[in-house]
Amino acid sequence: MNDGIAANRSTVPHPRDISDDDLSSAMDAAARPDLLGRLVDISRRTFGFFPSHYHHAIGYPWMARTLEDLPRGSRVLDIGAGLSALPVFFAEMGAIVDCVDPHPVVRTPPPSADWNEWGFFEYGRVHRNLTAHHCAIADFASSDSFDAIYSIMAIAHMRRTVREHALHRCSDLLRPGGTLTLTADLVPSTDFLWNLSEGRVLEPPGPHGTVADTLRQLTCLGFQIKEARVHRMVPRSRTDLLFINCKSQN
Amino acid sequence: MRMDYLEIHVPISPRNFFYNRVRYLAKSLRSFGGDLADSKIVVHVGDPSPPVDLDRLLPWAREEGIEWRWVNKDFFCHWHRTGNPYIATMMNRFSARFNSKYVIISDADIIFLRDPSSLFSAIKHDLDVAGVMAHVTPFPHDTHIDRWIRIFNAFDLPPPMMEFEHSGWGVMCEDETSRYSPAYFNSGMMIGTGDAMNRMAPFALPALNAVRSVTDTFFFDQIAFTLMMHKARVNKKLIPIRFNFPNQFGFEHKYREDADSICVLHYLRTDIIDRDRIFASEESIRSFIERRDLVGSNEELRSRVAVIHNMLNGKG
Repeated sequence: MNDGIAANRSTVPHPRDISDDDLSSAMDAAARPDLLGRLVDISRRTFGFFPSHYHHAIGYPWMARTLEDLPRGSRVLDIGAGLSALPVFFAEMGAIVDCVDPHPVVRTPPPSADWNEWGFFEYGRVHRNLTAHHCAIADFASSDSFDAIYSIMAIAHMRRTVREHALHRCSDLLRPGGTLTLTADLVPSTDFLWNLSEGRVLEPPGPHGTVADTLRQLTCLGFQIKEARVHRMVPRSRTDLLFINCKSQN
Repeated sequence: MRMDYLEIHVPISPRNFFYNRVRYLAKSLRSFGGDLADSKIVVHVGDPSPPVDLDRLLPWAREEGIEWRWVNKDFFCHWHRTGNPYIATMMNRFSARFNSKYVIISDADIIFLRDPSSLFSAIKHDLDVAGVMAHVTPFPHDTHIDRWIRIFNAFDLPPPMMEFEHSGWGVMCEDETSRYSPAYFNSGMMIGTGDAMNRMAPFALPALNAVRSVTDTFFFDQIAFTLMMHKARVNKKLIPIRFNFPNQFGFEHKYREDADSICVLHYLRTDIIDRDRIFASEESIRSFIERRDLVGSNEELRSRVAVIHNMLNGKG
């Protein structure tokens, strides 16, 4: 394992930190172990842990790889950031990143054992290219347009009306030709979006929506779908994963 | 001239059409001058027959700086009765340490149409290993994901992410279930750092055995290469298809921009032009050059072969 990763792990692992076995397995499976290693390093350094849910070891590096070629100074928006290494990663690559999250729990450093990937975090503490907004995407206002907007594992945790409104906001906030990348949990072996949020059922699967519903809405909003892919049988995960990469044509 | 900058490893059988392909490959690279013109070219020769002195048989080889390495006969024969009779020759490329900063693992049926040094600027961030995704899945469509998982499992690796789209998707195949694979590069041309390739090399034979334990296939080398990359935890990146462009119907339409600036042409087809017949003899090369019915990448190949033919015959 990369020395940088080991060096940032405290002697007593955080209860939410990914296990050595899972991380080793994820490194073997990764297309870009360098990105996974950096994200783990950033996450441990910033929050004291890298989320133990295995699907984060898949989704985060994919997102990093998809957007890593953004030019320095690009404007990026993270929807539902929670406690994620990605905003810091992109900031360190030279992007100017806004993070939006309405979660009522505010995570104030230093990291403690009850932290998990949910919550609002004041990213401005970590890097000057980062700004955190404690609000829902519906309430987020910006006079600038964004080169890229992404959301990692957040859209399935919104009720359908909220999600559809959020995607609508993305099309307003993204510059023409800008990139929208999304990952979402799916009910295993189905195309239904995962309909639980922090253990609570948001709405029944049918009304909550499917992969096709999401792609249809994105197409109607003028996005060109470049990649829409489902990853099934995720090790040690109770969900399948959806990856969407699209481009604004408006 | 940059010593130990790039080495190219090519597998062949000891046949005339292979020798000629190697000669044109070498000349096509050397003719551009610059940093890569003096790259080391190592040709791995596999056959059940005893080795012959190729420097003596092919006087041009020394002039082109070709280094010949014969594959161990027992190793060759052991694998000769499998789905790919030449797999030992292909894997022999990983049998000795790489000494250059960069390494290209290529087939013999490639030719440089433009200076390949632009490849290094096309790869963003640090390079470990990069290539063009293979055109289609190596497995029957209905078993595609299951076979990948089984092969990874046979090599004690976790299930891979199917995250790279096959380069021939929408051209040679439209089955959504086999659209994506893990990083599974076409063997026409793959590039890596010497360091990354040296980290992968010890896994070559074990990977081959792992693939063999699950399936018997012509694509042993490409699949084994995928396993080697994962086991060595190298970073896998895609390069633009102009660095390994097939003369395959449909690709010029799907990849229009790359088709206009092909750097490495992989002339793997045997339909409109036949790679084996073209290079069978001096006469067949000449009759290929005289063809006037070709278009697109096939015409680019004809034109480049004509230029090199003139160079070799003192008319360039």
